[in-house]
Amino acid sequence: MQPGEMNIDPIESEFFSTEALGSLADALVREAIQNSLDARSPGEPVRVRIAFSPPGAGLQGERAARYFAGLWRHLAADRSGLARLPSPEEPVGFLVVEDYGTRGLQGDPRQSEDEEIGPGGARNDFYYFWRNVGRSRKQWSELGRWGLGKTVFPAASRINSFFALTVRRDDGRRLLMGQSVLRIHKLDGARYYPYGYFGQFQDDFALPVEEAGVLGAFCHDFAIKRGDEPGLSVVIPYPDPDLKPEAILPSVVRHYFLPILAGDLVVEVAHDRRTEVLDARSVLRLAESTGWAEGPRLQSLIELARWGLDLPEARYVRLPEPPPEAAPRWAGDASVDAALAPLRAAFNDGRRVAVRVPVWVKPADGEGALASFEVFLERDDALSGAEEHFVRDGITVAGVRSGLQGGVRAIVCVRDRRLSALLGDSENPAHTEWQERSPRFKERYRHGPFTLRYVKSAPREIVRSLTRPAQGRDFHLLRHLFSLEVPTEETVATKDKRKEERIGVDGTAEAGQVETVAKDRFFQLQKLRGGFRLTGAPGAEAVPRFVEVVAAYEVRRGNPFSLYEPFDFEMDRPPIDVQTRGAQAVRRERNRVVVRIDDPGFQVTMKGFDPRRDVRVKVLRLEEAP
Amino acid sequence: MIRRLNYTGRRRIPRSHVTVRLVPAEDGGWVFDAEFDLSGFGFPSASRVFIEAYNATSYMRFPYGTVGEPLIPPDRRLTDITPTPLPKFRLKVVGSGTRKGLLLAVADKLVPLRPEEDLRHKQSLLPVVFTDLGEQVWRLDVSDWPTLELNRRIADLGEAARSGDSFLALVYPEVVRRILHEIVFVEQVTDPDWDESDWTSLWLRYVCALPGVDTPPEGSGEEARLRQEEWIDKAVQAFCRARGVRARFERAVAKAGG
Repeated sequence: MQPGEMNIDPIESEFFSTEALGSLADALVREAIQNSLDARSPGEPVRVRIAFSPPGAGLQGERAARYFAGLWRHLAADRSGLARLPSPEEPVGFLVVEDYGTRGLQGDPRQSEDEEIGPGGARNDFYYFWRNVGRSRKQWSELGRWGLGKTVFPAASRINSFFALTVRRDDGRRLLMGQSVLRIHKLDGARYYPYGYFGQFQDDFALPVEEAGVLGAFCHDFAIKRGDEPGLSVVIPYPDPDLKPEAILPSVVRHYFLPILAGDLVVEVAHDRRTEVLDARSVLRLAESTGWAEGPRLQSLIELARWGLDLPEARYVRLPEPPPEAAPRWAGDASVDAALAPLRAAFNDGRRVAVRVPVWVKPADGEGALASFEVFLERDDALSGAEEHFVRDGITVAGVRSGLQGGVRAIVCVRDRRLSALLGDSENPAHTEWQERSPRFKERYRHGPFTLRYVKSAPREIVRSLTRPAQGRDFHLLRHLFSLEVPTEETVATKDKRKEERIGVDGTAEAGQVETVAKDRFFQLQKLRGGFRLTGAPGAEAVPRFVEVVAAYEVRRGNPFSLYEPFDFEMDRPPIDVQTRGAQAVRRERNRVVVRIDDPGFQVTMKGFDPRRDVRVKVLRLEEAP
Repeated sequence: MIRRLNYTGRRRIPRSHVTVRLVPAEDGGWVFDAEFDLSGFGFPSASRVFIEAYNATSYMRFPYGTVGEPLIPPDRRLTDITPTPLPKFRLKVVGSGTRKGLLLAVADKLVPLRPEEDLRHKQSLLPVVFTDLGEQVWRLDVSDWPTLELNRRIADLGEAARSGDSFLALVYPEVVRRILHEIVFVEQVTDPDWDESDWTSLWLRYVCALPGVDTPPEGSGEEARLRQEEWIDKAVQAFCRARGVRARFERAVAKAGG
């Protein structure tokens, strides 16, 4: 370093340590795939291969020294910033991330400073990838725009280093470079700049290696699959131990389910001598079969997304266009309620709904344009909270929440390029939040913050409208908590038939002589004309010593036993007639009879009730006389 | 053991054969629509059909023709029904000729649906009514079929009641306790099979289907009451276990604490 140069250590990896990204695997998956999608060749799906070094394939000795011989002294220097430096004897395990269907790092590899690019001019991906941090020439419609995504590669390595081999679509050149990102460190009295390169040097300026022999050895050593197809192959040596297949695979689904389902992206994860392919056909099967902890949630998410993507346009409910001049707002818009009304029953009944929401995008210095986004919603009672996925052009913006109520899954899908650009301008470097106070966003759009809030709050407001209390009783609301299966027509018919056989088709039969109406362990109750009979249950080994029988005329409302009056009937007076066999009535008063049972084959018969009224009978077992 | 003895041979029409819907009337009251299917019961075709609307303090009767020739009365406004609580309905089939006036069949305590609702395959045991409860958030009405009342002035209360962890943990165990108390001590029903169309039996069936819950103890007197109270406690515990109430409440508290 030169005296007077600013001392600054790289801090880029901090951009990925946000709560919305669960792990380093999330950050790597998001950034690597995002770069590939941005470099997509028109009309082709992007294929990304993430490969772990096969067991026993770690580089050692001479083969490792080709790439790291000059690096170890820098890695081992004081203040290099590496906390968990591996031993030089440890075989070099590696992780490879390759993309296909992309254009590769085009542009002049010798470019060392910005050049003005006119409209339609060639872009220099090589220059921005290797020689810039926090600076990007990506266009407004692309996913990444901070120039920080690539810094996830060194952050994923225990030695903060990576290599990248590119094959360029425009000229077919194969270029290999490497980079190590340390802190400012001292070695033999000299101060070293944080960024070091692997390449072919002209003075201090690193140029890519193009020599076929070196490239061939590199591809062999790191099991690179790329032949002549354009794209980029990144090698991460000594990958962080958190980068495991079981972390990478669900992370791919979580963050890129939409472009996978849409057929825009295929991801292969190679590990332990096998390859898992995540494409539109296999992604659901994989989520179902792999036993990931979050597998069931991802399955439901994939099913909802697939349903939404396959839905014909006519099946979307389109909300009314907001007025072009005013800021978009949800509050108090009765026309939104009216438009959503046809979906209310379906949503509350657990069926999926899809809504297209129009919104104006109005650049501060240009013409406004009507854009739209889609919201797919479903209830899921298995969810404890809400599940919201805001997807901008394929990438899930993981930290955005609308404040949706629990038990609902929502996907907000932004595919309109103008709206995507507006939202992208508000994103933080890790693409996990939409920030209306971001300096890149502020002042760039008319009603920008309102537009942002309108998109962010869409799931909550749509659900609020769909679930607004209706007049009358609501049977759906708690049916997931408190309900019973309704008997099917078949079970009802069978029961009715049995009953018809007992009492006659149209109710004209006399009450049967011995119709059994209730049984328990000890007793059975039989209905007689104007009365009933209590006997021991067939097969009962023992019966209690005493039984209390209480009767009362049924009432329309309330408890008939509490509402019993002596003028209804009294057990010890006519017309009530109590007869016993193998038992003895030891007490008869008001509407109660206590019977002592002397023989298991006993019978207690009570008759004389008004045959035009229903009688409720209660039989209580007693071990001793009350 | 507890049973109702039906001496007239009156038959029960399953609820699945009758649907009543409440529709708001233009003048702010209620109109109802009723659909029923009485085929397959074998009622004499001249038997008359009536639908009755009732609530705690009022009653109206609407003739629907005969089993053979049903007629929909043109005026189905519930003019004589007090607006709260919302009415319930009965369908009655009444004999003619020599059996004139005899009640042949009934579907009782029909809880009306909203216009767009469909019961499908699950029967809700706890309907919800949104009403103005002043400063109260919720209230349980057990004057007939239990109904949860929610304060319609509180935004998003329906969704909180449906899916909110705190609401679930703090409200529903007590709702279950209160309903079971009503069934066991007020209605004195302990048999889940005693009347398959009655709300008490349906609620007992629901609770007894929870893991570890047996039928409630029978009997009266102090000792039986103690055992029944223990059973209610056990049933509420089982409900909490089945719904993961404690974990959900802990999650809600953690979330609220940021």
